[in-house]
Parts: sequence; structure tokens; C-alpha cells
Amino acid sequence: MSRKEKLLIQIQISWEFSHEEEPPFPVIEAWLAQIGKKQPPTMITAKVDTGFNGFLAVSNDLARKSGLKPYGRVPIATATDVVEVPIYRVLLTQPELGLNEKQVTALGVMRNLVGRRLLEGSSWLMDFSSNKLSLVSTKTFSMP
Amino acid sequence: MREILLRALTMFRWSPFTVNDLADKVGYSEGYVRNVLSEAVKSGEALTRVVEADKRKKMYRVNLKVVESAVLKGGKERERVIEALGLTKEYHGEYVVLINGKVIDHDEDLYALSERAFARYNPDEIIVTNVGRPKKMITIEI
Repeated sequence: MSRKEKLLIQIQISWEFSHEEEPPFPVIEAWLAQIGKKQPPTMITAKVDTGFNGFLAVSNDLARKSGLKPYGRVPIATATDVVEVPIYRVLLTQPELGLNEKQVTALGVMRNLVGRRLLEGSSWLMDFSSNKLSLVSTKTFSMP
Repeated sequence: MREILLRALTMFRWSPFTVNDLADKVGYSEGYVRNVLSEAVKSGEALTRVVEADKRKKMYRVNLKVVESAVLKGGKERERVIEALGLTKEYHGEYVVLINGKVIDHDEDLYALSERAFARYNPDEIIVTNVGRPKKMITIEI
């Protein structure tokens, strides 16, 4: 007897694409705090960059306003060039991904980005009909 | 940083040295080296102290803070400091953790290295940089 499999996809949370630019792009919200500072975390909206092989990047403007202190400077390869950027150690909270004040290394670049290290291990649904990015859970059922 | 101080860093690292020591190594006259070191002390690039046993003698060393600042600033200056510290041969293509000017850990993966460093050492003392082009380069799409 042949068996068919069905995949059940359940949406955990969705984020609307940002319309700050054309075309709209997927973003994730997260909270950022400085290590050792008793200040409330800052909510950030970060562009999902699947070509970024790190955790997180914060805009230079956010780094300056938050008073982040770099602990180094490293080269990164962008689409067009290799540039040196500062690196910061920050506390990242993203409840849906199970991150609660996790210490991560963030790059200082032009805009807030989340990279593959943050996305990996989770299932994502990119819905271009409704311009939403969703974190999903999946379950496979065997059908007779 | 002045070229002569980078050479002092190469030869003496963080150990103190006299005008004579440096003049012998670089092959310049003592008078010239004394003047350059005097200017370097004024600008904060070098530190000095009088030798207890012979108060006419002064010991110098390169200011760690200036070196750390150059590493954090990046660019050509950082590369010259990395070269002067003699890290290129042993750690080429890797990221290194510097504490007090010494490599205390290294890895090809910046994230793994940072995890270890911040778990073990005082965050305020940690400086991380690359030596040459990293084998595991961080990429971003935009």
C-alpha cells in the first residue's frame, strides 16, 4: 500500500515586510541591550539578509546612539567590496527564536541586519503575496 | 605610530629598553633616537621611567594603549602593528584575541572565538582582530 505524506505548517509569528524601500523586504524585530548597562533594551527592526553568514549587524547610527564600544575591527565582504567594520558584543533578545539576552557579536554597518546564524535551525515562510515573513513549525503526517 | 616605535615593538615587544638598546638595533645615532623617543613620550606613543640603579638612565617602552587604539582604528596602521607584533606567520588567515598586547586565543571563526573570549576574560580587556585576509570571511549581501 502506498503512503502519502502531508506537511502541516503552523505559523508562529509573522512580520510585515518593510516598505521603506522598493521592493519591500523581510524584517525581524528584536531587542538589543548593552552588556553591563542597566538600561532598557532597544527594539530594532532588522533586514533579513540571507547572504550574511553572521548573527547580527547594527547600523552605525544605532551603535553611536546606544554608546556601543567596539572590541575589534574586521574585514567583511560585501557585494561589491571588502571593507573593515567595527564589532560589538551585545545582548540580543528574540523570544520567538528562544533568545533571551543572548550575547552575540554584531557588526557595525549601514543598517540593521540579521544573518544566517540567527535564522538557521528554524523554519521560515516567505510569503510574497501578502508580503510577510513568518516563523513556522512543521509536522509531517503519513496518509494511507 | 612612528616607524621607529614599530621597530621597537618588533624587537622588544612590551619589554623596556634604553636609548642605547634601540639605537644599537636600528642602527641610528643615539642622539637621534633620544630625540625621537622624547617626542614619542610627549605624544603618548611611548612611556618612560628612570632606572632606579642609575638615575641618569631612562627606560622606555611602547604604550600599549596606543597600540590597542591603532588595532581598533583599523586600516594600514592596524596592519603595521600586526606585522610589528610578529603575528603574521603564525596566525595568518585567523582572528586573534589580544589582551595586554598578547595573543591569548585564535580561531578561523570570529563567532566561536568571541564566544570563548567573552566567557573566559574581562570584556573590557578583549580586543579581536584579523591577521591577513580571514580564511572564514564574513559576508553580507548588501
